Amino acid sequence: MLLRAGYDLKVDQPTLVGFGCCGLMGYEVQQIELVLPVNP
Amino acid sequence: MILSRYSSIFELDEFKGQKVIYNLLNHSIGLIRTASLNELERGNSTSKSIPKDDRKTLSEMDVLVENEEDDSEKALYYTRKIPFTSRAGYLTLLTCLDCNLNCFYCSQKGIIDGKAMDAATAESVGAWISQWIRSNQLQHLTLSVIGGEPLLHLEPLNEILPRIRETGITCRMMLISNGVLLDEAMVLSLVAKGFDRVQVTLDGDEETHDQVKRYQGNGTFHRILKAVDLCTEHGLEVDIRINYPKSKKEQALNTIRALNSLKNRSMIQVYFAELQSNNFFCTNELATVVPDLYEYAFHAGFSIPGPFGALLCQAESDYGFTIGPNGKVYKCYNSVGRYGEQLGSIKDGQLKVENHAMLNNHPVYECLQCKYFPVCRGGCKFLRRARYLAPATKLCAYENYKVAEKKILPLYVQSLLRKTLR
Repeated sequence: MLLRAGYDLKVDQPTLVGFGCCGLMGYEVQQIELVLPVNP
Repeated sequence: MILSRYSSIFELDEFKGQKVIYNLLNHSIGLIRTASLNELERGNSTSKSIPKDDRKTLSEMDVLVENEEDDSEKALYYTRKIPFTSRAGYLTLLTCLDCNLNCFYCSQKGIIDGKAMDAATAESVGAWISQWIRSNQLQHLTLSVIGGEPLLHLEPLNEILPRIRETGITCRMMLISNGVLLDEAMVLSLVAKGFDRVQVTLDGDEETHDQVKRYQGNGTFHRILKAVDLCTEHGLEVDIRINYPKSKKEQALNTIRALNSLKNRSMIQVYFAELQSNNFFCTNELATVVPDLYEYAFHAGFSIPGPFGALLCQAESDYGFTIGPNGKVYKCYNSVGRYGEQLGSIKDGQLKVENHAMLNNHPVYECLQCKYFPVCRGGCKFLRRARYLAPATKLCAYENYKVAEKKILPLYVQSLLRKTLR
């Protein structure tokens, strides 16, 4: 059973990108901020 | 055919005799009988014992590949292609570099100068955005409004939002705020402007938070919680970022325990950020993943974020930009004010690119064999560039990804199911 359709990589669909940030613990659809660094 | 190496497989108590597959390349999620998976793992992809519906799921997930080599080439191809072919734009707009708080850990110290986007710049930025959307035939835009504290200076939106709307593009709008100005009038104003989502930050439980985030001589913990309730009551989804000092995760647990009074928790997503001791961009790759915090948040009724981020980061996309209050343009919000990372600037409605290095992406081929390549892509774009310029540079977050896959991904899928079934 398909629980969630993936991004269609072959088609330039509008939901393909633009949602989020790089890598670990980023957000799938909205997050832009990850771990906040502290100034030394 | 074989199952792609870029797949995560795990069990959930809800589904007996079946396993969940998560495709790390296209982020599809499916449910397959354990017996079918066993056949696949034995290399019997054509076995008649794999039922038709399982075959259909595998096909819809696009998770079967011809062989290991083709698996790698497929991941590499789409990783390089997508940034330049998507028609989804992503803009991060800094309306000001001014703030009404003074958090000791602020990553923008040194660039917060009290300045705000003036009317002429807003007009120029609005004109460029409109032309950019039309000429690239963009179909969807994500607009993140940040600062400083953006609620101190929302006026540029009065110029920019109509220019976006006149293009007819669908737009999702988010705001990152410290939350202290989010009273009911402000929340209604955000709803009227078209915002969908707001992020606020807590720096610990009431006692700890109020030592850090003080406004007009008072703590702000309860003020922010009230703002969160106001947001969800008026239909805005909320992200709560919980900061905690390195190696003091009990502070994060105390914070989540202190959120018991919040209403509408299915509209609230919680995530945790360990404050790092070194000022280094993309510190997510260095951060310790602490699964039990997410487990606690999940069981407290909050949504939790996907542990593998997005298909593509704004800084990698050819259609993603960050615009500062003075019209200077960057690829990543982390680059604002950072030497050598300015892409160009917007003047008279035109973007003049001055630094083409910021437009390139450098794949790290040696990472192709890694299971987490599609979600990590060899680290953040700026780290990849560092490696390209200095190949000996090594920085791998494999262990963190492994923990995220084993401990947080199953919780995330459960969180999605709970939200869907609710």
